[in-house]
Amino acid sequence: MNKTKYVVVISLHILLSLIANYYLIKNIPLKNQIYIYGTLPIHQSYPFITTSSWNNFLSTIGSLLPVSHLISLMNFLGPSTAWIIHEIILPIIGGFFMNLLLKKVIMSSQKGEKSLVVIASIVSGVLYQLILLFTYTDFWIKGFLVILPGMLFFSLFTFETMKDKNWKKACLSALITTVFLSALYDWRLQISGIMLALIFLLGIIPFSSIIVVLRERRFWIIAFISLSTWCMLWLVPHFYSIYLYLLSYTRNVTLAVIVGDYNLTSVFGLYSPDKFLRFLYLLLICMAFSSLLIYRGKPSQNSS
Amino acid sequence: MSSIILISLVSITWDLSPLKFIHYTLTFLSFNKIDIGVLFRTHKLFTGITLPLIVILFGLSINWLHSKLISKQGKVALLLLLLFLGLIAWRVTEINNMKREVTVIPQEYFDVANWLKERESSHRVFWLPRTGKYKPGENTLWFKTEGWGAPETSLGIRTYYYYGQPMEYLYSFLMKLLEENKTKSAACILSHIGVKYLAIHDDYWWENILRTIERIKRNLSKSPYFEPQISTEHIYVYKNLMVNQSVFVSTTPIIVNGGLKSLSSIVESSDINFCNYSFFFSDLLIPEDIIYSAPLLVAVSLDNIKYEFTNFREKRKQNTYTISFYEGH
Repeated sequence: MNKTKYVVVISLHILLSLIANYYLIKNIPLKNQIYIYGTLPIHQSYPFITTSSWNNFLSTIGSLLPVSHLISLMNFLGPSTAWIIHEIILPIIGGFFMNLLLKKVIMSSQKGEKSLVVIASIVSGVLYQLILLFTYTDFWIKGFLVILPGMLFFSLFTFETMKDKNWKKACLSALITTVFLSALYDWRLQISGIMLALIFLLGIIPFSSIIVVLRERRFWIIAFISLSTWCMLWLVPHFYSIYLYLLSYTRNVTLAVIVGDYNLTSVFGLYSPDKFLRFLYLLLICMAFSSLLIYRGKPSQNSS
Repeated sequence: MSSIILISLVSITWDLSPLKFIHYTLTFLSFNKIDIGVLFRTHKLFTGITLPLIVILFGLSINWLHSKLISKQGKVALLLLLLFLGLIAWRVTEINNMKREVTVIPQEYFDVANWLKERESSHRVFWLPRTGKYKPGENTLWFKTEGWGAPETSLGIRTYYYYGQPMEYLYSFLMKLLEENKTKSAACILSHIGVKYLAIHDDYWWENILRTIERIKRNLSKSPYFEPQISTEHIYVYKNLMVNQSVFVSTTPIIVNGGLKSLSSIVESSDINFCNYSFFFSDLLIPEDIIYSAPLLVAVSLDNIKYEFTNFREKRKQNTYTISFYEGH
């Protein structure tokens, strides 16, 4: 995509976001403290110390939040600011990341026709943004949903730049990947993110190219830098947090139960109380599974 | 087509479907005592992974479909795709704009908050009753969301948050004390947890909670341990007169057997100044240096409660290493 197309796509994302939040945007200039109907939380606009697990303001034991928990830290801004970021800005970023990721996936796996790649990536980006914009998409995982495609995109980009021996770029994008990975909510999401990244890498990049990159000394240096950064940003603060948590008498025990809504569309994160939208979601799932059954990743005959 | 049939079948028989069984089985998964099932226990986390995957697969299927179609078919497919996206955008936009409502915290809360901020010290404010947990019972008139604890979290004043341990328990206990006119023990317990101001608000729909608030207000107004400070249309602020200083030196620990209930009984039935004591509950660990160095006041849960000093060092000499609890004489 050239620059003009990027501007058009971003404008489309912004427009969608504004239209989907029209009712609330209308109220923002008039209201001081704004809350939204649904499962959205009361934001916590109190003075917050990221290095302490004791919340002196509310007198509760909370989990210690590392600075890299970008999404969690946003909740400590003012209620209206946190809302604007979560409901308007994050879906735009998520949609755009999905757009980039799909483009990268298709272009890496096959030399497809450019116009088709653009259509597929824009449609996926817009669709992803619409799902993020929907009021019933859970507020707490919205940030994670935004970061995940970004993390996958940068991990693919890192490996491709390594393949091309562009080490400076590779180092920079590896650091961005690490920051994004650290910004995911907790260790479960981190494992999921790493697993997805590995699946994409192994599924898209030829094994021989991976072996070539693995033999490079600089790859290991970058990997070590990334690992150290991740340890500093996430692992060490989390271990400290767990240590403090274990000291507390009031800790909870997680039970082996599933919490959440269950139907076919919601198990794929597409929850909707509206029947028509559920039907559209079902079509979306059918279409997606079709690609699993039919798509073989071969270059198309029509493509140039 | 085959996927449509497959998914339709699964959709109809979801409760009995193998997918659900597989998901439930995964939640109990563990490997060499490592609990792997925790990855699948929260539905939201699980769907956080499936959602991006579904959208990526959808994009790949569009790419495949378009590469297979000839020019004319491609245009029709593109139109159908736009229609599909347009319909989703229409439903999302309409539901978003219809189902959402804005909640605005009334100005009187900010007025009270400003008054309290001017007097802010190391003490805390206790907002009663709490807001938001049980819909619609604990929701205020102005509240349109399911969010919890608006006054506690949004006004920038040091306070206590009731939706977590241990305050979850203390909240209901204190409400009961105030309702039963046990204002002395309420003031004592509040002073020990550093609460100087009580902010009572009566802007609720629920009749039961309104009646409780009325009783609490009446008891507080008559109480010698609380003093009314300011009031707005719905908020009434009382000062806890038992709080004189935020830091005090206690020379004697009191071990309470029987929990908060017996502590309140002790306070209500005695004339001693409880600011000179620190409390420990018998089911909590007590630091060893306190056990062996300080004289202990041991209290038990009896109706005609009395208190008795016990020099623990004497007990120690008699090889009594466990803490004894004495009935009052």
